[in-house]
Amino acid sequence: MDKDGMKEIAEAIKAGSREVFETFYRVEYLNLEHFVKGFVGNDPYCEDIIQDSFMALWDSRNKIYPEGNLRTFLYTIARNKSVSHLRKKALDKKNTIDGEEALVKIMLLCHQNVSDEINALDLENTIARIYAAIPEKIKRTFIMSRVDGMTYKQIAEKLGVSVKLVEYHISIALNYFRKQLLDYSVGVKVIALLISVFSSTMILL
Amino acid sequence: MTDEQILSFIKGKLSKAERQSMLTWIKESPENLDRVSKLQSEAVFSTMPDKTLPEKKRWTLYSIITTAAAAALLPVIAFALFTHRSDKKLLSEYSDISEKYELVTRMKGANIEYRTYGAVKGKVLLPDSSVVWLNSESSLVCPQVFDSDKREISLSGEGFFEVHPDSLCPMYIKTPKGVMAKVTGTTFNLSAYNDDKEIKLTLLSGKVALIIEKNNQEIPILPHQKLELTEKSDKGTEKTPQMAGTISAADEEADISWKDGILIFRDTPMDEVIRKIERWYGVDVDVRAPEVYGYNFTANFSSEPIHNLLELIKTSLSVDYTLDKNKVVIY
Repeated sequence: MDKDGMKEIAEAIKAGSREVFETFYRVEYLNLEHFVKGFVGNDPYCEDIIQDSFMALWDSRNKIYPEGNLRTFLYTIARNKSVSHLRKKALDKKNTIDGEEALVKIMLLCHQNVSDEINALDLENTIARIYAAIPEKIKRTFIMSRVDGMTYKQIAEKLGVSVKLVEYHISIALNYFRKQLLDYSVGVKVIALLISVFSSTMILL
Repeated sequence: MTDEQILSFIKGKLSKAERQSMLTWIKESPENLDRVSKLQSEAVFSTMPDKTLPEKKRWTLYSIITTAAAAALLPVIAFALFTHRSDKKLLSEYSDISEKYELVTRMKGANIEYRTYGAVKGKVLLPDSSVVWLNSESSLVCPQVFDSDKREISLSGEGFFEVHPDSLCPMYIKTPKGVMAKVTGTTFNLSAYNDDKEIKLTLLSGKVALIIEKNNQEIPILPHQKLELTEKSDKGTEKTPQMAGTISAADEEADISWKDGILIFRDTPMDEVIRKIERWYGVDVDVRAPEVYGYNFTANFSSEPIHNLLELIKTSLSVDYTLDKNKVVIY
């Protein structure tokens, strides 16, 4: 599994980067929705479960293990919240078919198959999409450092964040540029890319 | 059941009658459940959309995190947006504090654990549709599906059980002190807190026996009786304490009222009263007037604030108290 680049993402979120977290949110939202709806069913409460799960991940970001799988953390939170909701449903609708179904859904959601899948969630595609969606702010941090020659401390002060966060943003930006270059074969495409990178730099300057 | 029918069930496309027969079929055996689970997992996990949301500002979370001009504004916006969503919790209140208000459900290996912290009480539905009311500071562990010949669960704390009748498949409730309750179809109250010296079982109807695991000794009781097993500290080793038991007529109202939010003390020794208050209200009580322990207490409290109870203790036992957040001092 290509975990290359995921560690910096997890570290950045753990250090409090709202930009990176929000990128993760946009990249993972539809997948998490697919998961929750697939096991809870067509319940209007699903949206709350999804939102609450992302919120809980953000709130528990100090517990993130950067070497681990961030998706597994998120989906575990979502599974627990889904089970809580199904449990309430089973009680509220006791002795009806909906209540009975909620009970069966809990058993299916807590099945070992689901645990195995959650533990093995693929990161390759996620990493690629996160880096494709990296916001301008992150790239700007990189430019402040390499082009403007600001120190990490100066950047941190200017943006009102910690130096650690600046470090992570810069590693993410580096990964971004590196991935962009690796995706293309040598030749015109690379030159075109470099031109576009530098021209956006000019605009920001 | 065909794979097509199972897939339709998973997608919620069955009629009410078809749903009913599918649910009955699933509950017939663990193999059926496994089969549905396999199809469902494959269906869900191999069809992830893997698409990124567009950068439009229409998602609640997105708006909260990026539109705030100043960091100071952020909590205010979050508060407004989240309270707007009926009874949703505040961003900041979420993680550790949610367990102060709710029954917590967790996976413990292949089993499900239900826990109440502090003053929380909750109601749990077991896989066989038995109902358990959990008192404060209690935990119940049960499997996702019961075995076909026995139903095994663990309880630490206090629970009121309404066990679904099945004489061919008895339920065994393990407690922390090497004592197990065996029931077939019954309504009863079981109190087995780790930090209590006694295990108390009050039977309303049906059949229950307490089994001392060490020597397999079975002690049955009849409806409307209360069995109390006390640890004897002088005999036995630490792991398997000697137990002494007494059976008496049950004071059902006093033992079970907690489930309806009523705290009843009937000539209860003060050390038990203090422990019950700590659990019920989720507070820490520091007793600095040791003469308090010489008294027995009688009172009824119906979901009242702790203040009322403390006032009554103050006037009847001539002591005073202070209450600061969740710390009580009696002196």
